[in-house]
Amino acid sequence: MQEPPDFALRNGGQSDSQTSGLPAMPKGAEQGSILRCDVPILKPKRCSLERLNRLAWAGRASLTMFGLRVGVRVSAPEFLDRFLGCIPARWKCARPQSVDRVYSFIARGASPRVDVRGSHLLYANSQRLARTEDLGQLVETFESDLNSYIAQTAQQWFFVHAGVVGWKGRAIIIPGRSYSGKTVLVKEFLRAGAKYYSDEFAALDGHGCVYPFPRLLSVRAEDGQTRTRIRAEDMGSETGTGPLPVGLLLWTHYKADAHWRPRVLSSGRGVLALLANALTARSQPALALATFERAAVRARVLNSIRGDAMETVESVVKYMERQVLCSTSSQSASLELT
Amino acid sequence: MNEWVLDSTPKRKDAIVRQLDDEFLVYDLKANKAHCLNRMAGEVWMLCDGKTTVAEIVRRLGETNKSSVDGAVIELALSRLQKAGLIEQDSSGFEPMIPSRRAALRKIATATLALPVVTTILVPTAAQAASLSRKQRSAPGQSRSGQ
Repeated sequence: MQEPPDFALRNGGQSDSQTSGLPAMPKGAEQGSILRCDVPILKPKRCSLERLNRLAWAGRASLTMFGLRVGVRVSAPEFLDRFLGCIPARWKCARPQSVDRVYSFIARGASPRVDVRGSHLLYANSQRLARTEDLGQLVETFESDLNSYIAQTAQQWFFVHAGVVGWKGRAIIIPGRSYSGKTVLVKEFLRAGAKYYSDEFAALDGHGCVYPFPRLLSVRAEDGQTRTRIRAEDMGSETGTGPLPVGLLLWTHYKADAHWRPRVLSSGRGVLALLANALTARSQPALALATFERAAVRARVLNSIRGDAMETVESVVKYMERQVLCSTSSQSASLELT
Repeated sequence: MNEWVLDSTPKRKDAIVRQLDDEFLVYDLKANKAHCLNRMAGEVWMLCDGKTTVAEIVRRLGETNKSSVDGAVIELALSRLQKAGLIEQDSSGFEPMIPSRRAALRKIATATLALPVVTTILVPTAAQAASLSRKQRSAPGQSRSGQ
């Protein structure tokens, strides 16, 4: 069987910071850690892609998602599924020759030349992302970096830090940053029968429609530090598959002992809620405004601090039901008129 | 409103503007701030071209709305626009009328006109949007003038 060709970067090997907008690794930090590892082949500050290419790769996959091509290669074939399993976005296999970003995973003990004191290694292009003995931590690093890369690099898409669920053909977007309680609300919506879209990003296309970005639900334990990952299906919920128009924007965050007392905001304020949590609005402000306007113009916008998630979701679901009833009755009224 | 204010010619800053129903969405490229102006604030802001005097703005808005517009409302709108950084200080030295704002509000309290409202957020960098610490979460970066 012919050996598949290895990955080549579509941008011709420009640095990550040039292509993705991600901050470059601080000078010295990488160098120091590599020198400590005492790995002859990885001695340069960045392990060049050519050197990584020369290693023996037992499994590789090339994927397309949100217009980006990403390559994943592993030194031991049994790890490939584990990496592919945590990719949240819907992806398609692509031709392996040229990719925008390649992840290289070197399993502990896979190669005598790169065995770093029994640690696993993960690279994004030529930049080392992690060296750890904990495979789970490594996979999380991979997932986190990939998500950030997609969200910050995908052209013609806007990513808003938000939880998203689908409700009767409409998306409910809960924009907010870490620790604002998005995931708890998303879980509660799923219990109420909503479809899962994301607990991390709302991926909006140029028409203002939301696409699924269904990463594993990340649930913090009561200590606030440790997290567990679960699938929406484990909660008996479905995961959304297609794009949805935005039906509701919930601009909220958790506060202990607070109660959900929503007030309706204008569409313009809804656009601000999206902008306040958008990843690349600063680099494409005109496009961001246009996209978010298309999303918010059809949506209701509710704003309140919240306490108990169940109380909030029950109230929102009732509100949504009333909206559906109103729109159905107005549609039938207009049909009668015509 | 005193004569000096009526003769001033406020000038709006360069920004990306979109109109959404009765509202104006304004993106200030230099400050990376986004503003949502309600109709009254937006109409005043659009008339701030650096040539039109405040007196003329009052007159034109009165014509547009087919009713007299209280000068105090315009004064308040200009003050809020200035506070949001949406108006440049003009050569005539236009300054926000903050000391008289309370007085303006007192006058307006009896009026039935819509008050100018300007809502402002700081658009985050990609890294800020991706994650914020627990300490920062209670400050979503929204400030508001009016209501």
